[in-house]
Amino acid sequence: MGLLNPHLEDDDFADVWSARSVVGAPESDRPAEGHLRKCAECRVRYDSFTSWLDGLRSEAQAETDEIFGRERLATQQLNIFRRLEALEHPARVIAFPKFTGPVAIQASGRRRWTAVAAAVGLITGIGLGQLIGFRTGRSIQDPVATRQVARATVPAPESVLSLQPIAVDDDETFIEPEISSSQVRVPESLQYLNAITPGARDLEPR
Amino acid sequence: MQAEGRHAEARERYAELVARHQRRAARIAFHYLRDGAESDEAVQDAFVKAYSHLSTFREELPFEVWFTRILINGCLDRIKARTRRERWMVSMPESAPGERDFAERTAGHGPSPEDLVLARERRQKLAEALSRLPDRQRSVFMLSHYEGCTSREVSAITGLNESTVRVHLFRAIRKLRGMLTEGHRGAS
Repeated sequence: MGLLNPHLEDDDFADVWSARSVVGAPESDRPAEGHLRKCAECRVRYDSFTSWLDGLRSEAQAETDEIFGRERLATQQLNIFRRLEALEHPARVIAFPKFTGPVAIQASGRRRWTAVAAAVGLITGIGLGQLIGFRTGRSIQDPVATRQVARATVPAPESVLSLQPIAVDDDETFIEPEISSSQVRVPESLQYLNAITPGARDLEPR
Repeated sequence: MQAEGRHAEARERYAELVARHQRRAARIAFHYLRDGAESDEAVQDAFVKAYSHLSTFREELPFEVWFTRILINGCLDRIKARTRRERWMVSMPESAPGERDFAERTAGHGPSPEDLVLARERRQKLAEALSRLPDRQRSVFMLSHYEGCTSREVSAITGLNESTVRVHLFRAIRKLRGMLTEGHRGAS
């Protein structure tokens, strides 16, 4: 309702309706109520507004009545009382099954000491083992000793690589290449080839 | 009775209360939750909770008011939990709110399939509009208009004073009118 439009609008209807539903009766001091009394056109529109609201209610009620039929409500009631009964008789806790035979607890102290001693022994053993292994490893890695070992194992180049004409009757000539080849660990099938092929050391300038 | 250990008798008396308020409770729960199964659970929870807390019930309030308060709080908690869940889950294609099969609904001498579809659409729009209202406005509207509670009862249930109830009711109606008639105009 305003200066340009003397009639009531939806907001006015909502205000009138909510006031009536809360208070329970029309409030005579409200201007919208006064206008409704005088204006037939607005009364018609107000009636249509209230019937729209009633329609909303009946629609909502029809929907819920359709969903919550008698059977459903009966089931619901049954569930409620089942739960109420369960409240009065709380669930029984079943005890954990006991051991079939008695457990010997007397020797537990001695057993504990034995376990501790075994653990200490094991740890000490591992520690000592590590220490000894470490020292041995260090002594092998000593450079002076390594060089000495290398000199002792590697034969003189002349003895290994000397190429001599093969004398068929001489036993030593057959044995010597075998020894030298075994020293450099050449596979048996390649020993002959190794013997007749010049090595890298032959190409070195003397 | 409950305190004296006369449980069977107490349950019998409580059964009368359940029978009297059950339908209304289901209606309120459904308007909040829009899901038949969840409404069932909410109603059950509310009745069980009310029974187990009967000792805290104050005589000056009607049972209906006290119980409705428990029910609405439960529904709001469920809505919050659902919102949290839906943040992480992909929603399934929407079915009818009452979970009844369309064929089941159309079988027999009921309304025509067309009427059912139209009614379903109208209800869907109404439910959407209601769900878009703030919690307080929705509660006030549903209690005073759908359930016919007096402003005093609504005030006791919601904890708002009567003049605030009136303001919320006015705002709720104005918004609903705007949303539903706009939708209607848009459709036609």
